Amino acid sequence: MSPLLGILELERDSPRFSDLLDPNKALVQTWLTDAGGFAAIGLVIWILSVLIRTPPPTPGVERRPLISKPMWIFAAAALIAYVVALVLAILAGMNAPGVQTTIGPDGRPVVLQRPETMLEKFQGWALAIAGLLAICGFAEPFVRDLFRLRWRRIGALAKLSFKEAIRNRVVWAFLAVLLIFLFPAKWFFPIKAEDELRTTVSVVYYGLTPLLILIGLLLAAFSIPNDIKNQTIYTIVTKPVERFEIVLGRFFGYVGLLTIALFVMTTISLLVIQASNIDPLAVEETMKARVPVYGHLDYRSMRRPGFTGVDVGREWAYRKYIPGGDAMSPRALWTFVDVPSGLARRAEVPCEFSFDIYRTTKGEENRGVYCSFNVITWKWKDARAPEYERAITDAFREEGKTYPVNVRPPGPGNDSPRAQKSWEKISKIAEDFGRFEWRGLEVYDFHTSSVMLPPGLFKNAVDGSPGADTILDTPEGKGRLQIQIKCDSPSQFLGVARKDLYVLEAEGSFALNFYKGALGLWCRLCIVILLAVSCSTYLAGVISFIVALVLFVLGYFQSFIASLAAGTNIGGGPFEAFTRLVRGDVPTAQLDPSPTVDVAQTLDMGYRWLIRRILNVIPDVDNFAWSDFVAKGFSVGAEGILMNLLFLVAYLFPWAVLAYYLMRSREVAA
Amino acid sequence: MAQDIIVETRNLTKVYRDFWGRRKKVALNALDLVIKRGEIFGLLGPNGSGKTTTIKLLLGLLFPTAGEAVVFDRPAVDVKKNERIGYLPEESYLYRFLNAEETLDFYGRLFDMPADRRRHRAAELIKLVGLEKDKKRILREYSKGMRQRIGLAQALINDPELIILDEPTSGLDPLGTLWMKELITKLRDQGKTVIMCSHRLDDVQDVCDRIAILFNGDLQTLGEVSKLLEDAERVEMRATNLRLSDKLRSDLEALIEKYGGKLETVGHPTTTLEDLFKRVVEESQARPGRRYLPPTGDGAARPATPAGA
Repeated sequence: MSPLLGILELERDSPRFSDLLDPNKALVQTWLTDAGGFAAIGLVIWILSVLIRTPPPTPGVERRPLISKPMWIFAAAALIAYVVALVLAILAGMNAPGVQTTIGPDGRPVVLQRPETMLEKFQGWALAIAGLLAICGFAEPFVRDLFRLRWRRIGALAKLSFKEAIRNRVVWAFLAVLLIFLFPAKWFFPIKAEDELRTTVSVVYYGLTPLLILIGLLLAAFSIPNDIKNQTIYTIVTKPVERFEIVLGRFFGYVGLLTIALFVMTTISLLVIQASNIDPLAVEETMKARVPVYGHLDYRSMRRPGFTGVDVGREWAYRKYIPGGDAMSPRALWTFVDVPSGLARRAEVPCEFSFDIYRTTKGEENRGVYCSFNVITWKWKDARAPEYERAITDAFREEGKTYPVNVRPPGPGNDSPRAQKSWEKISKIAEDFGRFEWRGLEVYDFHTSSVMLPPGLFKNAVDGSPGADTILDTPEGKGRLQIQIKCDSPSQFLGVARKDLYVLEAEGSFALNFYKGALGLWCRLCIVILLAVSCSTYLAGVISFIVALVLFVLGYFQSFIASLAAGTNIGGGPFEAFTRLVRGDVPTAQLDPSPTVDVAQTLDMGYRWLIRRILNVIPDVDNFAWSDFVAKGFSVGAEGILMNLLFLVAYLFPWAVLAYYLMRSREVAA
Repeated sequence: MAQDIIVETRNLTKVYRDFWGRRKKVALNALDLVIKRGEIFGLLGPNGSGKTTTIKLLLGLLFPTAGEAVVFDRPAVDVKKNERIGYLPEESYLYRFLNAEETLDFYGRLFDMPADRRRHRAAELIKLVGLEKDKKRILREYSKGMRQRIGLAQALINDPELIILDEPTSGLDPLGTLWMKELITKLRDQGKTVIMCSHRLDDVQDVCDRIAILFNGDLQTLGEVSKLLEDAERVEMRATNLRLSDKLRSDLEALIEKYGGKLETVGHPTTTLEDLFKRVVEESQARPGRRYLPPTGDGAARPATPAGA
């Protein structure tokens, strides 16, 4: 999320368990390589400092070795593995195929991504193995000493931290300010009816986040430095307390305190929301916890092969547009690979959507634009279209209707036995043919609407498996269901993005979802508190506060920093940018090759390597921005939560090991 | 290490360096020391002599630059040895937002003591140090003497075998000082070992069995107090049932000269100010309302009168 532009990018998919084993994502390999690199540096520093600074052993005195035998073994093995990786890198470089380029849509040459060679793959794995060995070596004393920890001591230190914070009036001042954010936003500024709940939820979370983060940072960053400054740590370190227990005690104490504060604040705000008079439109749109099933978005035009949607010139190119017009107008296609079988047992299945409308003419006052839905399964054959139309006509002849017929399920205002019978008929036809249509639906700009799909369609979709000859083919696999949208209003454009349309699998509890959103904030609190406590084991309180705060804030700009690391940002790296500045070149212009440019771009490679290392240290706080889902009425999935908790542990573990070493080697009385 | 040796330092050295690794100060230079079980050992020296550095090295608050400090057969940096140690810091660095009970409960938990034992021990110690009436007040409201007492209580929470006291009588009034010295002696009688660091030489002289005197990081003197303080050049005698007269003085002088000595002084001995203070307070406690009366015109002292008389 880019807070500067205030734009929410919903294209980020929730992580899944299968991502761990996905060779394309290589999550485990990447973590081992990156964390292992830092562990290797830590190992080298530790070994050197022990060899240089530790006094020689005194005869007759048994001292616990600072570098254990397993540590030496892992260090040696890691060194061998890094040497192997280096050799493979050199060989891969020597045997790499030449760079291939093509001409991009703007006429400029574009470097083509080529698949990895075998040597490059082995090099990647060698680095990961070396990283794993370095992690094992560096973390070995940490893991061994974990068995010496005592929860009673950690609990005592946590309780001390808790009491200290409670008896410190600064915390209460912050919490008092927080109370303001718990009240409905409409009390403070005017809001559109349908946005009421969305805005209220956003204000609650966006108010809670900085204040709780700030409290956590202040408490955690200054706790150990104040202990050392006041020398109260003397009375702790002179007890049989492992140094790391002090770190854990502080961490759990502050996390415990802020968990209680967060829970109370979340509960109060939820109660206020439920007790206040929320506009029914807002309740209908966002007081929900939708569990959506998303499809893969593609475009098709009968007149223009290779049609990929129209860019209407909006600044944010998140959506592509399909023009309205006649029967041959382009379509947006959502193809669903995974269709939950439970949908076939429902009475009706909502397909919800919210599109953008780009008007080239004013159109009618207070009217939307019209679009048509054509929903097919993998079993549908275009050749059966005449048969399908006859079946519709025959089924609804009694009601005096002919094809095409819009049928909705029975509901308020449509609850006669005839409505039920019509719905059953259309569902049967959908099951037999694998097709359902809805013509001329009026849609409004960014207004959530829905079309009810019959269960028969899903019975048809989930029965059997699509074959190799299916037309519903996507990069993610063979599709079972496809929803095709066509804009019927001439001279108007319908703006669509992948997550603008979904099939609603289920609806959860808004209240539970509200707490899940708070869980995302809780994860961020854990990050800042451990960051601050780890830094404070060695740095002064103010420096720890600043470092932890800067790292956390940089987490909001991860995607921008990643673009710097990848070199995809406009203007290149600092050396290239300086060259442009000196030569007076615009940032977007292609630089003419010259020795100066070559040197600048080579130096920028080093800069990008450094940025990638910095990126490893920055937490991905957007992973935990679950409050946005709550505000928009979408459920925070359990699988996504568990995966993100795993990412949280993977991020915090190296910091915990660092805190262990820093605290262990710190002379508290120096 | 022999069974009765609690602390041993061998070539213990601490050198403070700057960021670039250059020597800034030698705080302790090659200290060799042995402290045995059941003795009260005093560490003396002017400011900057290395006393506190020695204590910190023994406790693991600092790491040695060279040499070794061994406590209970374990290196001083080994956290496990702290299970048998109690430490009273100079300034009583306790958490001022806790009250006495919470303080002792906290430190008891750090020794992994179960709840009922902690509660019992905390009550016992609060009574021992005389803070029963103030046990619910937070430490921020305590006087220096009270903080010193609760500091001692936390040092004894685990019934340690070795107690390290840094300026234990600091902030205590004369009665409190007396009480502290009696307690230290009692601890020694219970078989515990005490290491005491103090600037109050009279306190050290009263309680310590052995002392070490440090100066500029070097050990200058080490030995038993009585032997170190013995003045072999002089003889001291005390007698009762005797009134001092000129004849007695001249007879004594002649006798001493007969043995080759020289009489320096003879007179009635004085008590110590501490003993006087203790006696006055005890009498005041026994007879409430007792007041001092100025002497009569002829200089004779008048008996003290009760208040209101």
